[in-house]
Amino acid sequence: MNQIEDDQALEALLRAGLAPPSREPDAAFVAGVDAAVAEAERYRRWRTRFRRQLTTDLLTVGSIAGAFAILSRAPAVNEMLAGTPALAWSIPMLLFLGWLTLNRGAKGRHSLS
Amino acid sequence: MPPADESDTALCSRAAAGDHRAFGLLVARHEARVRSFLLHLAGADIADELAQDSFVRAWRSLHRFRGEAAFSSWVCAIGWRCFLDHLRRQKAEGRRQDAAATLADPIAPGAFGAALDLRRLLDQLNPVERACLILCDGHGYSHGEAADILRMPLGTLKSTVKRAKDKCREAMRADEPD
Repeated sequence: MNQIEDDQALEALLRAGLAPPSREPDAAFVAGVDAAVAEAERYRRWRTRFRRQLTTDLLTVGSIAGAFAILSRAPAVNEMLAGTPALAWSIPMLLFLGWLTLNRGAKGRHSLS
Repeated sequence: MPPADESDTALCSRAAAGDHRAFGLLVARHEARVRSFLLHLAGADIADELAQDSFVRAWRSLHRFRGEAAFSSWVCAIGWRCFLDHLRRQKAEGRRQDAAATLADPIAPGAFGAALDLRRLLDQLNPVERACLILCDGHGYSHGEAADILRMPLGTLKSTVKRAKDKCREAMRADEPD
């Protein structure tokens, strides 16, 4: 086989073998992509909600801790906490638990709606 | 439901606004091309998975599609990146059985008889050479379009196509009876 015939055979082979098929769309594949896209969308929405919730939670916990730290600097409060160290832990814990309960109630109402 | 004769650009705009039906039409129009590209590139085992992943990524990136290139080229470019990610994952996992990533067995005598074995011919090429040949010679993209899809300089693409064809010719000649 000479060079020209060689080239022609190769070109013909590549054109015939590598060309995309001309056929009707594959409905099963299209449905599969549709389902995968819907799943990706669900995941994206969940991730957005999760990030938003995490930010809110961190801000809330930070605010409670910050408020308590500032409050404990007041001489009267500081004196009281020094007298009863258990209060130093129980007050922020109670505030945190209260917020957690309220937050869970709000989430429950949100998921029902 | 969007009309079936609507242009790709119009369907893209609708899909970017969240219209799943419009995106479904785009998938139906271009799935054969994308799947064929990935089939010859990566093999039958993984081609459909990569194609599906390509379309899902396309959906997520629709807001970035400017319509400067054809939608099919854009999705093929995403498919190429999915394939490269797949190769990287395989490399990370230490698996090397994929024919796409490695050179296949040498061509056995008589492999190119009446029925030319394209698969064995492609297996002589590395993935980049294979992608260049599929896009330029199979799908009919210009060298410029193929270079955009594969994100490589035009000169590099041209030399890669030439090298790939030289390898193929050599393999075909080696198969010829003396």
